[in-house]
Amino acid sequence: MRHSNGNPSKRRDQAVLYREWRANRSLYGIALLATLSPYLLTFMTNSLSQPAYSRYVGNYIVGQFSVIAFVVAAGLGIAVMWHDRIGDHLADVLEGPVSRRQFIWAKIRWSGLTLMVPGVIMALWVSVLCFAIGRPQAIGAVLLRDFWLTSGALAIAMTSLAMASAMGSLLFAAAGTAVWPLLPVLAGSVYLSMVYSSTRPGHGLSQRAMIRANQTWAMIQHFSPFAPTVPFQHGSIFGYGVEYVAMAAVFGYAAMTWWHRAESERMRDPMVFPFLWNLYYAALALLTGGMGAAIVMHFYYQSSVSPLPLYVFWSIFALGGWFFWRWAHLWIGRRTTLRWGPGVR
Amino acid sequence: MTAAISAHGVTKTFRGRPVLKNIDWSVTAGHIHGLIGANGAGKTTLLRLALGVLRPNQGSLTVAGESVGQDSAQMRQRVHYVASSHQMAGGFRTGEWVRYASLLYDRWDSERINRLLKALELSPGAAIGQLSTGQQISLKLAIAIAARPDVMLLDEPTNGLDVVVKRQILQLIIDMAASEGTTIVMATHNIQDVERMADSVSVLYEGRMVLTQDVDAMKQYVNCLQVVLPGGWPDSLDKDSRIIQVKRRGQVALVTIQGDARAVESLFIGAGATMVEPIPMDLTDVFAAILKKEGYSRETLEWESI
Repeated sequence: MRHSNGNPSKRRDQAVLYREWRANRSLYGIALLATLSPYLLTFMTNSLSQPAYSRYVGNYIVGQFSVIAFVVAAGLGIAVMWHDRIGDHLADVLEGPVSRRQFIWAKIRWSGLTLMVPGVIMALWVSVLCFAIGRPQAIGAVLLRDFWLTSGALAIAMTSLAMASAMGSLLFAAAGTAVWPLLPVLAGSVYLSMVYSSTRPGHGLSQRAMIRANQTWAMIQHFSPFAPTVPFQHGSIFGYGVEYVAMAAVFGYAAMTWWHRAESERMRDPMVFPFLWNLYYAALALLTGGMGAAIVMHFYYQSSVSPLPLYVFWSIFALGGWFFWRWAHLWIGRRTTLRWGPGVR
Repeated sequence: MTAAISAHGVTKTFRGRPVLKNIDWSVTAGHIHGLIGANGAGKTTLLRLALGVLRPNQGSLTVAGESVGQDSAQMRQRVHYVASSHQMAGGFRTGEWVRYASLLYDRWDSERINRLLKALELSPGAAIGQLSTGQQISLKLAIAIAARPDVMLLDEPTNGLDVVVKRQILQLIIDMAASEGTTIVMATHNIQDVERMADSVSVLYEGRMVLTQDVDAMKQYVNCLQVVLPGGWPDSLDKDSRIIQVKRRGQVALVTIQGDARAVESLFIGAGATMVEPIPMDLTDVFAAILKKEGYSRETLEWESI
């Protein structure tokens, strides 16, 4: 007897979702429980240190515990892709009547659900608590923080899915996932170290210059979900939440597009798309530029706090670094047996 | 006759290394077709191109009436691929994987899969990761058969199977082709299987399609003669392009010839042969002779030479 139940397209979609759940259910389950931990740890900490019931509701999910949710989200995207890659399990799916987009879309939906369910549950729970203790005015702040945490986790999970779609090396996918959300933190740190290293020993920055530098540093850091305490110091939580939603949308789209376009024979390469090596060189060039400029400014340029020479040196080192790292990787791929870089034959 | 698969000028390179070179290939609908070639000849690559998993650098393929394109998921409703080299996904039970397949395939036959699982002694509760190689291949084939494809691409389907399971599976494939008109393409090293089952056969050598013919015609493509030449091997025959290989022991020579043996017999008689006798060749001998003609130069390992 042949079956003919329902819309074939809808049924296939159910099949892909079913397979995704069966194959990776333990990973999604662990991630869901781990995502609850920032809420639970915050409650526990506050209930010990702050006896006033209303105060711990108000402070809920503040602080360093939110990093746990972000690290879990980063691991989730990579883990659900890698679990399917191990032992050629991917072949079972991709050699069947499943499109690449269906495959990755199922992962996006399960990941999104896994990360959002704890946020929704806790938002409802804390809202009820706020009413119960007679502080309904606290609900708005609680929901905003919840939105910030959930959207941040979602953005990182989509980033890691995108990286795992475009990189066939676990190391590269993990590094890529860490670098993108951390880029604002890294950029802020590079900026600050360059500014401070450009001052002469015993002649620090003026008060005004220091304030300006610190404000710029804080502003740059704001864009990273891995700078969890910053939004609460400077307000604008909703704005950062919106930024993370946009980041999730962009990287979710990138994951679908990259996975759709990836050539099967390149799926085990560190970079599935050769052009992505340029981003890798750019990251190395950024670091090379920062380090080179800091060293030069510290030893040879001590008479001014003007940032212009700093930028000039940084640009020279970064540009030189880009070409150097590109040349080095091509050379390694072509001339050695390390099978590393775009020059591998 | 309609072609179930046709390839025109297909070229595939991996990192600049050509794996398939300008392949023109056609498989008649409803045929069991053997795809044979030495290791690294490009058999698996050709099947995966036909499935739409790999994309050609040049050329085009049409399978089951559809052009193989960027995302051939819909085509794979009617084209099924079974490879013995892939382990099946762990974390599933047999029944769960069957449920997944039942949701996936539009032409799924539930009654047929139940009968197949019973006949192949596959328990729905068994964990796939615990199944033997033979059981995994049996499960893959059972799913392929229940999905009722128009074209089935089999990549070394009998690797790692014991004799009993192998016979059972090959018989299933033959019956499926006969009763449903399914086109079967079987890439294999096992030429005896091809000889037993196939209607037609193709030979790949170093990425080139050397030959595509009916099995009976292919057996006639190469012939072997045992010749007794008391006066020794005549130099005049050295440059005859029809002679593929000569093995001499004293006055006796085993001569492999491309084409009709009778046309060459008279040459030997004219050269003083006292006996010219045709030697029967199976498909394995024919395949070896074709490889030899194409330049495959692996030395024969003889006991005396060790």
